[in-house]
Amino acid sequence: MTEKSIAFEGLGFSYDRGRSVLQAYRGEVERGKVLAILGPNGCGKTTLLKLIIGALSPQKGTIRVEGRTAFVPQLFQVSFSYSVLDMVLMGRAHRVALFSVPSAEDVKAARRALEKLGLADLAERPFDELSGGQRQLVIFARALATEADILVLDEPTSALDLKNQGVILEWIRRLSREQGLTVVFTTHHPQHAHAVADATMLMLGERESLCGPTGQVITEENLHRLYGVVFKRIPFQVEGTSAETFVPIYSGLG
Amino acid sequence: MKNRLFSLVTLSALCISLLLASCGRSSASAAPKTRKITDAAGRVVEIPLLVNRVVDLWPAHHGMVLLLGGADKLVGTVAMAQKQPWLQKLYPRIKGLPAVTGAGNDLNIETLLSLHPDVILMSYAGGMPSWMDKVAAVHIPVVLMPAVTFDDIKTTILMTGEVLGPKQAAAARDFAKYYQDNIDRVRAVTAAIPMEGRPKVLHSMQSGVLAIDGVESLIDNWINIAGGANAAFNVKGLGKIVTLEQVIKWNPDVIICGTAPNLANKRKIMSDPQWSGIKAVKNGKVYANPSGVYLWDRHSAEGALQILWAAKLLHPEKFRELDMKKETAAFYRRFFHYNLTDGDFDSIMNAEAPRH
Amino acid sequence: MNATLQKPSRTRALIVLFALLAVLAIASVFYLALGRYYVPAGTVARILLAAVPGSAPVSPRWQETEWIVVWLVRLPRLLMVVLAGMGLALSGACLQGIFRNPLVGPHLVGVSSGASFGGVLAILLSLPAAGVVGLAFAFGMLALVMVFGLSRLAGRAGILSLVLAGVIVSAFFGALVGLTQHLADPEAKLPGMVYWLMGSFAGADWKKAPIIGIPTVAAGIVLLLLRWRINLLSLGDTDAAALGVKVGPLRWGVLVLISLIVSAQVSVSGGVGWIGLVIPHFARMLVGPDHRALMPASVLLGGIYLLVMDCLARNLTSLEIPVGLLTALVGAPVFAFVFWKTQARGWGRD
Repeated sequence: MTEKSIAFEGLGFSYDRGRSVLQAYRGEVERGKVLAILGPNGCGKTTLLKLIIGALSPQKGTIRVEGRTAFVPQLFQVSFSYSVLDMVLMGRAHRVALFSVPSAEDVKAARRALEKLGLADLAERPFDELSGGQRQLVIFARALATEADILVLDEPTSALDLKNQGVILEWIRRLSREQGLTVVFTTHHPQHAHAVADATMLMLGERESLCGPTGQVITEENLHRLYGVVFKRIPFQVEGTSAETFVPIYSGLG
Repeated sequence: MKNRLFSLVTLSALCISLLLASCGRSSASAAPKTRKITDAAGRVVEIPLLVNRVVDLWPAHHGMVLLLGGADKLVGTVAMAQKQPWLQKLYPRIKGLPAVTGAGNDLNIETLLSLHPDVILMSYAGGMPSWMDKVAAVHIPVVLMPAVTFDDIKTTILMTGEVLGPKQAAAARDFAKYYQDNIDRVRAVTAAIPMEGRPKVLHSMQSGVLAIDGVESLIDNWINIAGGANAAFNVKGLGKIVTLEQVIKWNPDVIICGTAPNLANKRKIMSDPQWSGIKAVKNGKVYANPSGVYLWDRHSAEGALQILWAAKLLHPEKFRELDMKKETAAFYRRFFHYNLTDGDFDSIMNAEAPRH
Repeated sequence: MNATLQKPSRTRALIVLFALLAVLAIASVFYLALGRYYVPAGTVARILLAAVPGSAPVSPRWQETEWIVVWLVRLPRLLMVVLAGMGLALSGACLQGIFRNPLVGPHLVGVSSGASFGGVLAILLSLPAAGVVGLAFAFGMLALVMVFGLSRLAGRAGILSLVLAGVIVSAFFGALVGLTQHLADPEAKLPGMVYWLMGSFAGADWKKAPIIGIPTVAAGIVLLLLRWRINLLSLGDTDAAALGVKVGPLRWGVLVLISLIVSAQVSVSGGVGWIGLVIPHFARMLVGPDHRALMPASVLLGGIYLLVMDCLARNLTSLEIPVGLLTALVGAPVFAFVFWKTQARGWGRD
């Protein structure tokens, strides 16, 4: 199956102050696969995600998105302490008429989404009293409740401890493998891309991007170009299969 | 020898004392450029012997200065006074005078200084004007005049005459006598009226809200002199805001509308179903208070007419010979040297600006 | 409410709403029976019953004055007070939702001060009551248009530029109110203005009732229908947009409705403050933050609160106390308490 879920070509965007954020980017991801996006701070990762979910329109180039997207923002905070179920229910917004409230159907869908992520017990808890990892999962559940085809995650692991990072990565893999969802996420950790992403895109500069199978794109050389830091490839064995990871070598700290 | 010595000492002492006395007299004869006047606040104010430049900051008071023949001494005024249509008509110069205070209570001290006033005239009802300290600092005398009771109008006129000069003081005494005569003339008839013969009068001022004038006020004073009783017996002071239910409970026999637009307020009360159960409305006894150079019902020289008008309004059968039109025309001719037309009279009765 | 709220809180919210409705009904009866002019409670009841269409003639009859007091003085005032309280509290709940900040109230969008200026201007010009209402309404809406224009001028449609525009417009009209007062005749007009600015229902009658009634009921119903959308708006622009909400048009739509309600209230009763700020907090304590329950609860609580305050305003003394003074007097310390409590629960991070 090689049907494209997202494909963009020559993509360019700049905000009103004139600084171009993106120029001539290209990339793609197949349906049901995971795409990781890596790039230094300020390179336009979030802008790219906004273009994918349609919150921004490209000024140059084309972008094709097949299916509905659901966005999971970075660092989620609420001003009011809604219950977890209320939060997930909001994922149904596109299905609820303007002058209406969610139906019993919508509540069921929300509960189903919570169950899928093993959060059914948290339904009545106030969202703002949950741990960071739980919150991130609840917002995952909300994305699932939208019944979208594509999940777009903005640095889903950045605010989490190592254990919760693992939980989130595991869910990204499962949502793709088991639910057939296309997942796009941004991250600062090459090993996260390595762990779950089928394809990886590196945002090398304003004009240059590299997109392809994770194993081919993530190399010591490419990562050095991307971050200006020396990376070391470390092969290892886990449960009988060989794998690899990349760690940055910070000079002077060794 | 002893005697001589004594007489010599006495003589020289006499000489010295004479010398001293003459010295004293010469300094005293140079001094009387000022005189002293005790104002309503009990302050002894030193004002020039001859007052030629007056700043009047009390809108209601301008008519009094005018009728005493002192208006040409005005060098500064208040914006409020300049807006009074009858004052404009009788004394057009008022429009061109610089206003020292706007409608609020803020005084422009530089404008004031530029006018070099001899004295500032202002009302006093128990509280000092907010600008008092500022003016005291530049040594301009301020004479505060009483503004609480109906009798204060007379006191104010006399005090104003005294400030302005001998000619004006004489005119003030003349007016005070006329004023007192009118009060006495009404009292002679109304004093004997027992409580149950006195109609309950509600004096209202409506400016967006329902406000009434209670007891311990000059409004209450003239209601009583004119043979009425203030319906708002349990409210003290002017312009108190009350509920309509309270008015219904008072159930006044007569309602007098005292704030612009008087006539419109009267019509509103007459046509408003909420007021329809009140005796005064049922009997058609709702009136607009007349207003001329100033509002007749307040601190105005025309209080002399107000008392006659109110007496005739409350007890028409007892004041049958009193002709308000004649009285009013005579008043404006005598004190303002103005011949009132029929149209003028109607305008004043309806509290409207003069027709052109 | 509906079948979609989760079970426990849904039942709880329903109970609270019915309880509030009952309190409102009882408070209304007291309101009609209490006043400076004594009308026996039985007479009040008979006057009201006689007005029910198709009811049998009630006896004994009553005095004309009693009928005037109950039917022409108290009843329109009751309706206006309740509607004003409801409208203000609802506006406050919506604004706190869409601005994602529990510390805002209807004053924030500049509408109150715009309407206040219209009102004092009408008093300055000696316009009749209809003029006060008309100008208050016109300037209230003008304030909103100015806020809209300014926030557009700022280029970004975000909340910050909106708040800033609201502050600017408020300050501008506040200055105009001051200027108008400065120009006012201190004896004849200033007291009326000051009193009107403090807020009062003393002038309530059947002619003014529809002026506040129609906009409040119409806009209020639409806002209540949008109650779940307020939940979505409270997530913030980006997130709400990602969920498929048309943030800009929806937010402006809500603001227009709120402005209608606030202008209508200010035009008939002047500056009654603090209700929009305080009441939603109490409603939140009772039914939780979900706007589906919070907004109806705010409506009922707002109605009850202002009704009680106005009952005090017209009964405590023989003089009429400006009800806005009472709502501020009670509202400020209560708000301080609520603020302190909620701050402790973590709103400080917002």
